[in-house]
Amino acid sequence: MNSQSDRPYLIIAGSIVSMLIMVFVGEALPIVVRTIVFGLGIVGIIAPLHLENLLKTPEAARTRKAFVITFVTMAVVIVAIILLDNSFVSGDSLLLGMEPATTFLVFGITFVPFALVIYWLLDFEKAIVPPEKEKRIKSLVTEGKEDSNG
Amino acid sequence: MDNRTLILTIIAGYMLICLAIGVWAAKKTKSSADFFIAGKNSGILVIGFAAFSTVMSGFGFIGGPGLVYKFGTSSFWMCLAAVLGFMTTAVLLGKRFKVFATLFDILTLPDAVATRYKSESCRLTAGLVILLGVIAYLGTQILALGAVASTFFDIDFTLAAIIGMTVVIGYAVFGGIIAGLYTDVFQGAIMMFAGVILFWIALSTVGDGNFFAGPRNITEAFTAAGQRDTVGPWGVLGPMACLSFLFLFGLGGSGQPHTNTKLFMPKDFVTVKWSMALAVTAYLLCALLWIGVGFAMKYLVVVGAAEALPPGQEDNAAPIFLLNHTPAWLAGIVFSGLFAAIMSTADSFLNIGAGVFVRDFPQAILKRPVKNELTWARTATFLIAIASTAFALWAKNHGDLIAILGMFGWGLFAAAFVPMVAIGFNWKRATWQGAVAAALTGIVVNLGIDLASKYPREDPFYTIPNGVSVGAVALLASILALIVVSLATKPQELDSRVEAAVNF
Repeated sequence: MNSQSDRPYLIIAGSIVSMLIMVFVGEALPIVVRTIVFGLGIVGIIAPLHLENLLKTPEAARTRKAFVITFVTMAVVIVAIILLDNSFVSGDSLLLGMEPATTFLVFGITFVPFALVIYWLLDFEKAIVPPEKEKRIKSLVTEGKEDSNG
Repeated sequence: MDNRTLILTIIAGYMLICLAIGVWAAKKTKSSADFFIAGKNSGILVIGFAAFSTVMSGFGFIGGPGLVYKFGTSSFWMCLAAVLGFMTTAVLLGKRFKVFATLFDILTLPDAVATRYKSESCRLTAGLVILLGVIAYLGTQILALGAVASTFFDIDFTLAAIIGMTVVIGYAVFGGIIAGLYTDVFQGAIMMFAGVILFWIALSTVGDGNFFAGPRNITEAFTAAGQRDTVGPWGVLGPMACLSFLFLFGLGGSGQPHTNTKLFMPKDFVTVKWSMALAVTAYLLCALLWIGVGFAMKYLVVVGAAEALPPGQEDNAAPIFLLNHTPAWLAGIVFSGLFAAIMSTADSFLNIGAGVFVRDFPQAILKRPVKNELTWARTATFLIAIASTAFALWAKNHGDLIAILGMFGWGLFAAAFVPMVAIGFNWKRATWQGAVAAALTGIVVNLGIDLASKYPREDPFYTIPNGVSVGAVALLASILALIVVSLATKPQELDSRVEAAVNF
């Protein structure tokens, strides 16, 4: 077993187990704790999957860092929604016409992941499919044709 | 011309354009590769619009506003999570599927699964999952089609469903996925227009003519009416339910075969890059309708400006808002958008369902392809359309059954294909046993808990605590099954080109 390449999937498995516990533990834990653990678990599953798909070359380092920052921000937004809602009392001031936690939901859950679209467009050739990888695919296609002819 | 005639004329014109695209596409469809994946040669606009309009189905355009009307902001966690969902699909599968489609003779998702795992059991399992999901999803689309048309244009439900499906059959049978893709471009453009303009009208209506006053008016009116939960961050369903939606729609999107198969079709990597960015943006614009119209309709009820919708008829929120608060010409275009949302999803499901019958089952069971694949593909598309229409009409009187199947569709695809495809195509250590175990776990948990939470009707056998979505639990269980079983079984030797694609 190559433990290095399996490590992200073990993190994912750990996140899943913690989320399932939060689902089935019921009222035994306060709702704030359950939601924070469940919310962080979501990021704990999705973030490693994204990072596994970015190249590990020096050219891709900036993109990897940007993805990490985005997912950390995503986790912060989720926790902020939970805590802001918990402390909100009717009559408190609104933010952009909505309860502050709702504003975080509408803009945070939408536009934080949208940052990934920007990185995807800016760094596609550096961190996702660089030109040398495209060449490699072309050579594999040629090899495949030779194999089937041979 | 009265308003109703104008609306019907616009919709009839829309249906005729779809049929015309079908006729044009039929001339371009010369092989099964054209029929199923448009010859792997589609551009940015086509893939981008097809990917988003396939996801934004009747559920999104009709059910979405209904969900906001009923549960408030709870449903935001579904539609806003889709931004993350699209990007997850793009990052996990965008380049990977393009590589697989370039290196191998892949026409369907089970084709790719069989190639990746070198296993016909995987192909058969994937085919079965698709078939189950297609029946569920297609039935829901047909019901939505019939419900909108019959309720608002005084057409008999059966007749409405048959007319709609006849148009879908018209372009899907003869034009295959080429017709589907190009009608998706046309339909997607209508849906985007509808989303943006209706969002503006909805918030302006709520804000007494001032768009920017809309959110504040909604918050204050609901709070004054004692419905603060509706406008809080979790809506009526509560935090655990909402976070389970974020998970199911944020990750589960990468397991939807009707979207994933579009990723076999880009002509190059530049198309992969730009089309996915286009899909996310277009989806976001469309989701404005989901958010705006549902709240506007509920607001009008809360302030006494409209009658409350009877329980069980919340799906009428969007059509009623359209008929009462928009000009007839706009209502006609947006109603066309509603039909577009339903039909663009239906044609994709017909196509992937036909692929299972013509390509995957013969390969998995007979170990050989059928002859005259294109002819059989058209025949299978026609038969699936007829069978699913008949099934939907039969199920119409069993509302609960179709609801179970509708929810079952998204959750089933997510639970089966996120581990098998979105993770398995990225993780070299994933084995065919793990993939099959994950898919079976997805089916059993999804169907088992869903049925247990609804039957017996008087006292259901089991309900997941805190309203957590069944699909989310099934997805968690199936990913865990993939990881545990894969690590517990012997690593698979991969073909050198498969290994290159997985490591790409």
